[in-house]
Amino acid sequence: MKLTFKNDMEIRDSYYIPNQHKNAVGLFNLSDLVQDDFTMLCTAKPEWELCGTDHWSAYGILSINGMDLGIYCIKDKNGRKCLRAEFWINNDNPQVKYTEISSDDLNLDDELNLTLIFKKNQYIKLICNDVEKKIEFTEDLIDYTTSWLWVGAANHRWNVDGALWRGYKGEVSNISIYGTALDRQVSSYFENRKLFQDSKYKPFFIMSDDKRTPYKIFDESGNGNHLCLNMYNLAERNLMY
Amino acid sequence: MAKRKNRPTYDNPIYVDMENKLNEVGPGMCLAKWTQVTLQLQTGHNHSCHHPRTHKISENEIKRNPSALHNTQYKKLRRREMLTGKRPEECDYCWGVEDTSDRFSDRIFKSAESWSKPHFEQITTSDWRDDINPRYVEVAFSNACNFKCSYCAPAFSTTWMQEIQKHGAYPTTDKFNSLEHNKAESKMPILQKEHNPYTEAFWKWWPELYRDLHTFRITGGEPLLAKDTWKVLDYIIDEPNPNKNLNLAINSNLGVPDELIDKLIEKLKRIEDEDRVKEMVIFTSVDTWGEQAEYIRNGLEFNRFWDNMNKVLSALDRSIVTIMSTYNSLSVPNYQKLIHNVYDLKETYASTDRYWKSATFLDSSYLRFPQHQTVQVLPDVWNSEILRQAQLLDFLAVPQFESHFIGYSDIEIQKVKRIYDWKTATWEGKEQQVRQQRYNFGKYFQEHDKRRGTDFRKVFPELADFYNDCLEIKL
Repeated sequence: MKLTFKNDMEIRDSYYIPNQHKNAVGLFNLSDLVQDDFTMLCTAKPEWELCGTDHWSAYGILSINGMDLGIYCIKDKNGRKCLRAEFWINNDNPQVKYTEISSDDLNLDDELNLTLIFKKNQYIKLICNDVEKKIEFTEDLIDYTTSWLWVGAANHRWNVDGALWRGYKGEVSNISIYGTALDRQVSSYFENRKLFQDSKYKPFFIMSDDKRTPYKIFDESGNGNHLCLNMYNLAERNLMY
Repeated sequence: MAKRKNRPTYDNPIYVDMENKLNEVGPGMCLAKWTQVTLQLQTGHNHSCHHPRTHKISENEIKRNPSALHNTQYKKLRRREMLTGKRPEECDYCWGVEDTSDRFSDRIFKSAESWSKPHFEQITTSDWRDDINPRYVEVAFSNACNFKCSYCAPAFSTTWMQEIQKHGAYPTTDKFNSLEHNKAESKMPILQKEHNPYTEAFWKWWPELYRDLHTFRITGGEPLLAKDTWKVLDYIIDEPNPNKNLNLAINSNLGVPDELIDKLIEKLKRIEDEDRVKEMVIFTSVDTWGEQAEYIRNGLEFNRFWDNMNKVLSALDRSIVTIMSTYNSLSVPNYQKLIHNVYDLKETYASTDRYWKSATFLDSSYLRFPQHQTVQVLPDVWNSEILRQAQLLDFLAVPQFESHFIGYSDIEIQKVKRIYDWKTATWEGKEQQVRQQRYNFGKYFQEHDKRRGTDFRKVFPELADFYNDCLEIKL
């Protein structure tokens, strides 16, 4: 199943998984995922024309809000297209860290198999097709336990920080998130996703290929972390939570 | 005066206010003792709220005063206790909740209901001897029923009664469905063809009762097999000045002959079209899907039942159908099919013209008795299946409880989540209890298959090994 995001000035579309489940039917919450190793994977085909050159106009593809953690599209000052894995460390004195893959490394207009691997107190890797970039660190991440995970936006939550929305324009599919730092297995993931339902990889969310309602996309991981369509009412309150 | 401690500031102010008002009268005060009644006319029993045990209605009292179907001398003494600062012993369910947690007990919820709250002043300033007409009435006219659901009893089903009279109690340690218990508690049902003084009193009281009713729900037995059900519907149809504030609810297994289903639709359609009530709900029951549902509810023809659900929802375009699902150990393997198909009904029959926001609801309550058929007997490997069903409901949920969204509400999700929580809870002595109930599970269904010509292993292949293990248990 491919999700198409039209984000522009008229349409704001995104999906999310909250940090805790309101009906407590989940076995593995996002608030627990961000406290240890994890891996995010998806296939994406960005349309870059609305993507900007700074934090305020970058696209979020897979993003944990607050101080951004995830995979983003951004252009550098020379107008080069970049995929960025960004995160923040040191709760007392937050500092941003990121690693990038640019259009000098490969053609970023193609369909891209993207992976972010987070190894606690060690490194973050960003893998795009055959290109891999890594940044090392030893500090703790800032506290992301109250953050939500967004697909197709950097942050659609109404009351968290000033950098709202930053909607992604393009397609996203094959989203999966695991509570382990996958590594060499990643190359086979995009060929056979079913293998990765194995509990040894601690699946957190596996996007269904065919099960959806008008409001949700089914989570095949067994954790009940169904991906929710972001909907607003007239008071700009999120309807789902 | 009792005051709750540590009441969190985020508690619903409606309940906080009601709790304070009730406690000003006394720590045991509950309006439901005045405003609510369940009448089991087939046995001459009643209770006001489902927590206390039912008590016998005096034939002498109702001869003088038919409202003594509700206003029994026994109940008036309990009301006196409430008005004089005491806690009636029979209401110990609520005292247990209040004494061991910060949660609101049901006396708060029931007193805050729209059928209770407006009568607070009238009740609290009344004399305990006064009669009052209840606003929320459930009535069973008869135990006539063409089903003998595995967890039901002779007091609620004539087919169960026939089986027990023929074969006796089941060979479980507690002699399941022995008539001795009914006899000891004076709960032997009066047959429909026999004179029933309680029904007679009901009809004397009805014209006055009807005027004051907020909610009237007919239960059973199977209500469509009770002549008095039709008498109620005809009364509402013929009444020149109907009670338009009435919420009318009728239970039915939707497994009676077609002509009775058609008759029900015809009468309810007339009531609906002529705006003779405020809203109408049909409560029906099914506990899982297909052949397994037929096994649990003996007498059910599943496909005909499902066709009847569709027939009712098609014909009555304002009414609601709520499925009361008695979730038990045999529900677990296939409940997800029921969840999917009820969702389809919600999609098919959604309409803003209906009295409520959804055409149908799946109300999953866990079976507590008989203990041998509760989910507790199942091995823990089934726990995750129950949780997956809650997750499935959540997947099929509405984003918000509004009429333009289709799907399950938080309450429908929570009721299945609650079953998972209960199944996974631990308590002292649980292991021993479960062992005994597994023994009874084996004994019960072995006898069930023998008496009814059913085949447990064939219908529940997923549970066949478990069933075999139960049969091996020696106590």
